[in-house]
Amino acid sequence: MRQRLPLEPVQRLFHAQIGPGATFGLTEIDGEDLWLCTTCGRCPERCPRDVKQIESGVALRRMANLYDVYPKTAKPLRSIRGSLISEGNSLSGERGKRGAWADGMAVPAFSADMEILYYPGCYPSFDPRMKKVARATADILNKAGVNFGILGEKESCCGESIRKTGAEELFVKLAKDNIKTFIDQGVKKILVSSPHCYHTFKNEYPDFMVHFEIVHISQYLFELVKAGRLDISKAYEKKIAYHDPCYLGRHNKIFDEPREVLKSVPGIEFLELSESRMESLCCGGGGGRVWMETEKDERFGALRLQQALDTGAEELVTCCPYCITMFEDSRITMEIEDKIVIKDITEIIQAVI
Amino acid sequence: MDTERIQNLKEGLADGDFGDVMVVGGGISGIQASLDLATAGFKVYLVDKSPTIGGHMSQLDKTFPTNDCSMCIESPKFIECNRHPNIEILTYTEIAGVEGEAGNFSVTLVKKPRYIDENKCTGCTACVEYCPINYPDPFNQNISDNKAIHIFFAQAVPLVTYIDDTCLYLKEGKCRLCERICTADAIDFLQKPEKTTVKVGAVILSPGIDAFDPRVQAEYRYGTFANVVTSLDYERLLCATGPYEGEILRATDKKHPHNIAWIQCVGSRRVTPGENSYCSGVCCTYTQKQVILTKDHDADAKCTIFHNDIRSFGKDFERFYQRTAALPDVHFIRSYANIVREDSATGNITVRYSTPNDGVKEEEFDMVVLSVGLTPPAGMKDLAKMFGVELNAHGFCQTNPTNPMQSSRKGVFISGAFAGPMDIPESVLSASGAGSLCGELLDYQRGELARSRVYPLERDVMAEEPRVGVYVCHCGANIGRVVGIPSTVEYALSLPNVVHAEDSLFICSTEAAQRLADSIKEKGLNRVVVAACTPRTHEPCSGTPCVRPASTSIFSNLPISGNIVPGCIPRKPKPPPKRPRT
Ligand SMILES: Cc1cc2nc3c(=O)[nH]c(=O)nc-3n(C[C@H](O)[C@H](O)[C@H](O)COP(=O)(O)OP(=O)(O)OC[C@H]3O[C@@H](n4cnc5c(N)ncnc54)[C@H](O)[C@@H]3O)c2cc1C
Ligand code: SF4
Ligand code: SF4
Ligand code: SF4
Ligand code: SF4
Ligand code: SF4
Repeated sequence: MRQRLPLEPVQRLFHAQIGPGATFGLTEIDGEDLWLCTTCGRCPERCPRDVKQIESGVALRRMANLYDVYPKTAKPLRSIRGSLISEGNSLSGERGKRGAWADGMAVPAFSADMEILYYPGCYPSFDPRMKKVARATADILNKAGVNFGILGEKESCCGESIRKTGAEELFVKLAKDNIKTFIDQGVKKILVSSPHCYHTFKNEYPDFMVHFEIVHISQYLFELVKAGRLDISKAYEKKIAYHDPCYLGRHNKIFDEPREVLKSVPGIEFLELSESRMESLCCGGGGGRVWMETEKDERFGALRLQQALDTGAEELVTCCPYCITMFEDSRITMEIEDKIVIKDITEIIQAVI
Repeated sequence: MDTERIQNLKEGLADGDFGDVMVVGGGISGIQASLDLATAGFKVYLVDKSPTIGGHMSQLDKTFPTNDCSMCIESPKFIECNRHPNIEILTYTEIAGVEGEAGNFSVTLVKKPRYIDENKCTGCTACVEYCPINYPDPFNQNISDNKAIHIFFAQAVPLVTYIDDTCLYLKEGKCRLCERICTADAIDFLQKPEKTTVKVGAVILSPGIDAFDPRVQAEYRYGTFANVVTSLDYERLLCATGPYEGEILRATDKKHPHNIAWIQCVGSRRVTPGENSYCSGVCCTYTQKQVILTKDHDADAKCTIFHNDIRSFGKDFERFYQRTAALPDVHFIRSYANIVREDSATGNITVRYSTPNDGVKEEEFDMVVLSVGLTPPAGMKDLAKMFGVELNAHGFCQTNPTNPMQSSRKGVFISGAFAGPMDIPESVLSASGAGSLCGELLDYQRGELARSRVYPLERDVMAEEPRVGVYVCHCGANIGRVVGIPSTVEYALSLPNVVHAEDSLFICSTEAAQRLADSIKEKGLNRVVVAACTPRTHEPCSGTPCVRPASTSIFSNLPISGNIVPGCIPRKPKPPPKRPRT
């Protein structure tokens, strides 16, 4: 009795029958289906009936959490939760080393008199590939003369993705920890690298009656460029395609700023992927899927890389730690490392200033 | 009949002093409201922004659930309006401003230049023939072309041309061919928008609906895949006066489609941006009507309907659905459907849909019809503001829940689909309702401005030798398809006492009615036979011209009527109308 959604193209891999199925008690809470959704937001965007697929899917995952039943692919979530509880990050890194990505750079600890707090999030703090992005960001901020600081070990995971796996209490704990720190430190404006941090700070933290000013790095770069605070002195002679991260684009409607920043760099030949903006195809890393294994031929990342190759791009540029992680992964499994390079938007700007 | 009623009313209200109503929107609803009010003794201004009255009903082929010919029912009412001494029709006219209050509104109107002197143009269409500019015909949903100068449709009221802004002279100052052709000296390129102010005691707003434009969602592929059409396009394709004279043809290869799909709820019952969350109420049933008519055109056609559930709103609609579903090779499938692909070689369209047991399926069709919903017509925010009425969240008029003809403003009443999606019977019903409310408001001033219709004295023809005239109507192709019109005319001529017989494309058009009247006089007829649709709908249009010139007392009713349109047969057979004694 499976009724599948007749929409392109995600249905070929995943299926939106989970939420609607749940309405009729058809979804097995110990099955794999429950965990397939990356919460990319395409279903709710297209559903003519306003069925809240993401909310209903997450509600089911909460039940799975309650009974502690996880199918094979969702098993790693147990240790992720453990790491988040004990160390405040999802990568089993030591809390004390959260600020270590900035070692050797002029990146001060945040103080209340500073203009802005830079909050890199878990992946840019601990993941070797993503640390480069955190460093590129700090480098740009320094060159632009931005008065900023970081929280280092006082920073905790924003909790966005673990919440999507149904761990509501853990999310509340992480959010409260962060909010307490932000208030104690006198934070008003927060710059984030990840669209996921952006989303939860901007749209979910206000449930705790706090309202910080949140900017994503792509927006901030746009402001810096517009204000002439960045001296773009070099050309970037490459064909690049831009991937809209789901939580930046579809969920928060930030489409133009990253494009404008890239287009402001001389030499760049800017290409659009066949599915872009509202139609962007997910990297496969949202909703906690970044922590779970996906069958090789079911990976969105691979489809997306193929779309990038199809445009003839030499580099696929985006601005989300999960997207970069997923794409780097598929780039290796697809054996196309010589054909395409994955870049964060900050890495491009860093190269031209 | 009108005369008597008006006369009676006038006598009853001898001390009435004033009575004016403006009806904005001349669709079926506005027409009905005007007729009711005018006959009740009020002077009515019927305003429409389009070059003719008629609204959407004039574009429909047949109407559910009786599948009567739409124009056969509506056009007699055009003529009745046109002839009514108490109705002033102002077409191609828009509202520019409103002042005052209930009982004393002052409405400013702007008449757009049609570059034709309405009083001089005879509707001969000679100019149309010579005009060199073809442009997509809005009446036929832009499927076929018309000329820059043309009459909106054959039964238009007023039956005069208008010049579109694609005209060579208006655009580039060249041509003026039409001016030289027109022997009536009716073309007037010097016309400018004309402002007038009309004082009325009450207003009825009946601007109706627009059909939902599926271009707002790229996924409907309307405008990108040529063989995806809207249901309104399809009405025109079905119609004898349509772009291909009643042949259902595909845009790509002008071939008959045999395998057709309908997708329902296009633009309705959807919360996606640009679409509407309400049910449009009419599209389930008009889709079934179109399926039945398609099967009439081509008995072997395969018809597939993708729906969300069938909503049979009105009386007999469920039976109508059952009747449709029971036809051979008609398939109702409950699923949202997605148009995915066009075959570039064949022009065929692939639709993807879901099934309860076999997962997602794809199927190819020759043509896909989008059953579009109804939306508030363009420009309603401005209109509502001018009249000081509130709109609801959907953009339709906010009406009083206990009196759906009442708006939020005293003296402004609502009729027809502007109050929210509704079908023709309901539009007519609310028109009469709104008319009564106006009557109630303006009762004290009824009759002042009303004029009664003056007929020539009737002449007793009982003793005269019968001189019979026979008029056989093609009704476009409705009758022509079934009855051999030329041979009928010929046969009629061979009958005793028949001194004249002729055919007519639409006997109900203003032009034909005039010709009928003229020939009665010219040929000295004293008996008239009109073979056309049911006498009930046509009595006012053919009956009146008969009375006028013939001045006979016995033939003040349509003497014989055909009932020869299959769709026009009244559902309960009536005793045959009285035959004239010949
Ligand atoms: C494809 C299709 C098929 C249908 N089939 C059927 C059917 O079989 N049976 C049935 O019962 N119903 C059918 N309907 C519904 C039917 O068309 C409506 O019920 C009917 O037209 C409503 O009449 P109305 O007079 O309220 O509005 P309309 O017919 O929309 O007339 C409104 C008039 O107002 C004028 N107007 C608009 N705005 C202004 C303005 N600002 N100033 C001056 N004038 C203005 C317009 O020019 C128009 O002449 C169908 C609808 C569609 C779309
Ligand atoms: S991943 Fe996106 S498309 Fe797939 S089920 Fe979740 S919201 Fe829908
Ligand atoms: S109506 Fe919405 S939830 Fe249901 S199948 Fe369609 S898109 Fe999915
Ligand atoms: S404008 Fe002149 S030529 Fe054209 S239809 Fe009218 S009368 Fe005939
Ligand atoms: S002047 Fe305009 S309307 Fe007249 S014939 Fe020329 S193009 Fe046609
Ligand atoms: S009448 Fe039928 S087709 Fe139209 S919106 Fe309602 S349910 Fe859909």
